[in-house]
Amino acid sequence: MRMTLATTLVMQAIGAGHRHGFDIVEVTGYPTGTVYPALRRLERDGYLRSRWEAERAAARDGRPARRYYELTASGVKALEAAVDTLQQLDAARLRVKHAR
Amino acid sequence: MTPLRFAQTIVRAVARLVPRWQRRDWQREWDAELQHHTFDQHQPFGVVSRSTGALADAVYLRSQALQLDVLVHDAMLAWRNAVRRPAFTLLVVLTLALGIGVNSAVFALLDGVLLRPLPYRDPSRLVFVWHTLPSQNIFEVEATAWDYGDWRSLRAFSEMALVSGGAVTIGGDSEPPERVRISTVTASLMPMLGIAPAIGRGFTPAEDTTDAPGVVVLSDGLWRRRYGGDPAVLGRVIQVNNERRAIVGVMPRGAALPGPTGGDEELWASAHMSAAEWANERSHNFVILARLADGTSLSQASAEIEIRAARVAAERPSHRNVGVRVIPITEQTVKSARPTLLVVAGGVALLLLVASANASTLLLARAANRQHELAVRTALGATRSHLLSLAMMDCLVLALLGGLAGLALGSWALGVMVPLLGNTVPKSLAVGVDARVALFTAGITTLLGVLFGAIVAAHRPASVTASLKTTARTTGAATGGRLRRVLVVTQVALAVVLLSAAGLMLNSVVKLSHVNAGFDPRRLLTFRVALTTQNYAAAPSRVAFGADVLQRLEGSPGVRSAALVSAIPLGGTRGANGVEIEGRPPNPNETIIIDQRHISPNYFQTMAIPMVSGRPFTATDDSRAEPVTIVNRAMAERYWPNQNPIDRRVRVAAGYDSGVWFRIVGVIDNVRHISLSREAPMEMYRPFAQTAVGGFTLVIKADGEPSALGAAARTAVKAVDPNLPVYDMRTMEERISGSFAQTRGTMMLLLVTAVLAALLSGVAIYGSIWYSVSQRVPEIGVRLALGASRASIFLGVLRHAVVLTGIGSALGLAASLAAGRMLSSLLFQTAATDPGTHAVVIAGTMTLAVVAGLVPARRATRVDPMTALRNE
Repeated sequence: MRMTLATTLVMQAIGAGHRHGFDIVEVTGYPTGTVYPALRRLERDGYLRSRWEAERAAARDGRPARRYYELTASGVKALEAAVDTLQQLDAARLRVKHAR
Repeated sequence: MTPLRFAQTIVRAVARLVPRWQRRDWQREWDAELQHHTFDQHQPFGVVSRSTGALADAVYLRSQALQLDVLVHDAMLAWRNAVRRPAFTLLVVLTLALGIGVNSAVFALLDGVLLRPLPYRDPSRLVFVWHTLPSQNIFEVEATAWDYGDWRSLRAFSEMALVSGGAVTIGGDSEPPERVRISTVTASLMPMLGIAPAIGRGFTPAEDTTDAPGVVVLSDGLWRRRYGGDPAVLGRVIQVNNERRAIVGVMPRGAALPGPTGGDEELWASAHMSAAEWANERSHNFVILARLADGTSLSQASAEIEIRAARVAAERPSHRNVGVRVIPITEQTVKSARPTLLVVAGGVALLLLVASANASTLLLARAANRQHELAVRTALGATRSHLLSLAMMDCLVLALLGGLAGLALGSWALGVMVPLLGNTVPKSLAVGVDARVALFTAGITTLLGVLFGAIVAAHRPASVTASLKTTARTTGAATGGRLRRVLVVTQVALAVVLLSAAGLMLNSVVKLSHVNAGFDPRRLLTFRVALTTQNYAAAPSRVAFGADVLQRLEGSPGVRSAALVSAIPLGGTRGANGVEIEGRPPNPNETIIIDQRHISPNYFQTMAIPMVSGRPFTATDDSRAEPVTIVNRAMAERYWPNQNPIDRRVRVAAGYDSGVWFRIVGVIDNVRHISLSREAPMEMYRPFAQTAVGGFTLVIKADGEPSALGAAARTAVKAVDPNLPVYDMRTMEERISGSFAQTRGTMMLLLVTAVLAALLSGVAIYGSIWYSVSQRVPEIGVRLALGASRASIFLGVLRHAVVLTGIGSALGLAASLAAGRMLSSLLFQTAATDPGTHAVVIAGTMTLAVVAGLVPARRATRVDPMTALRNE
């Protein structure tokens, strides 16, 4: 799967504990039209799995149950690889800047 | 409208884009997020802005699922199509269910008997070891206990066990005495096979000998039936024949010995043999099972044991001319079933082909009627792949329904088939509809669905505009006609193959039922009694019992005469012994082995077996008189050709009266003792009063219906000894009919299959001719208007049916003649090329064609030229 910056950030947000749609939208700053298709794609490819929050827990907070996303083992690996790539890109950018 | 309500409206509107099976969860997720969205006072429409992302989300999901969704939609459409035409659906589903059902049932049989490994530890390494008598063309003789001891030292076998089967009377507990099948086995048997009692224990090596008390293990069936499944039965002592035996275990359900001897044992007993019994090298009573040692092949094991056998044959007179043979248990267990099952499987596979061809014809006819509709769909933008998907779904739904109905039908058919096939299915094997059968059924169902879909899709309109311009009727004629005729011809050819096979089998069964068995089976009732209790230890008591029972039976009303015999013809048992003929110099290359029967004086009269010469036994041929014997014609012709054997003397080589010379007093005609299809063996009859065997069959000749004498027979035995069970009671005609149950069962299955195939073919001929007449109505109208006679139209249509059937019959006949060899091992006095049978089959098929063509031909003659032309 192609790891765009948006997908990487969505995964990073989930890894950091932001587990439902609008929460991820909030922290990443991307619009819902970007975040949701990214979530579908990541789930389809096995980097994420989703489950419904227990009705009782949601009722205690006075709201409907949410769909929670979490990283799978291969999701964690893919995220690490993507972050690694981004860091290398950043280092390369700095080197180029200093060379100037 | 609040911003939240507005956002929810957007989401609801967009939800329609989401595939149906995801829609509920999708909407739930979006609703939960929107409802809990924290409002920012400065951006009151933030929630609306976020809801717009639902459109991108929905479009993404739709694009991903587009293909699957179309399939689901097509499946729903196909289901609606099936429901909308119930008569058509029922016809196709029933046709397929017929083909699939019988194939599922036969697959269950094949899987249970031929494909699945036997239920033992590493069964491919297990073998039977038999003695052979090559000089007499006998290749499976039980070994002796001495051989077992001898062979155990061979390196080719890592484990070996000895088994002997039989029947015993059990009693001595609170239950009435009962006759049960028993297998006496060594302690090594259960570990070697990898089976063990479900409760209690197996046997110990000490229990192979008389050093330890004899013990028994119950089968699950006997345990439940006789002891109500009581676990406290362990340790209880029962009487087995006249020995006390403690119950030490209960076998699990379904545990059985392999091979022809196993499968129905209700009691397993420890060998419990004395040193003298273990040293006996003359009593060939034991089946030997062994496990090949690691790294030893079957041929290596055979070579090693053959060398040993050759040495023993040279050293020991008891083993002169005796060879050995090693047979894997799988081959031994299923070899007799293989030809029958393969023929039946071939038969039902052909029926499936006929049913499939029939269903294809029906589907093509419907597709022809729907071509106009398909053309409209194409014109409205349906792609070719979508039309293919529609056709596939239509056919898959019908095939699925056929498969489900077929599985139910197959489960029923299996219940009918197993008893029909008699001993073909070894009793030790469990045969039933299980997950493997269901998987097989699902496999052929899917295959057929896809095949039909491909056939139908291959006949979609070539040109949309042409299809739209023409009527549905003419389009169909142009595209499907030739294929439909090919399918009809195929069905007729396959039906002819099946009818020929069934006809040949029927011929064999008829011939078998007319074989002269050598006695008159009419009005004979037979049953068995075994004198095993302490009361009959002495020979005179056994003789007295026999005389007493026979006297009582002959005194019963409705009994014309009564007799006893140690082994009744077609009763599944025979006893044989080595024989020496006085004055015939012993030949080291010849061992004379003759079947021995022990009879009461009026046995020949009761059975109506004609005397060839000499006299029958009389009441005076008792233990005080000279030992006498009567030989059968086969023995007389073999050993005294063109001579009179009367007054010659013979003696047996083993047994308690070995060494005593018997004078031949008569020659009796041959009796087919083993089976109707096998020639009579050589036989010697001895008077029961001189031999007093302990187990025998009583035969009663009745004045009327023999089975009505059952109660009188039991009463007569009970009057002499109330503790003796009477068992295996059957009329002689039942025994005869049971003796060729396998051939008759195969014939019945093939006949049913063939008749079904013929009926399907008849329907196909009828459908094809009817359809062709419908297409030709305008043409027939024109011909009638131009002066053609109605008779010529009638004959023309009929000729069409006869030509199609004729081509199919010719192809079928050629295939039958080519494949006849496959069937020949199952036939009796019938050649696979039997011209009479094939002629009847062809005549029957042509008659079927004429009958199937009559109604459409009459329809053709009723065409009104004016109406036909006006419609055109």
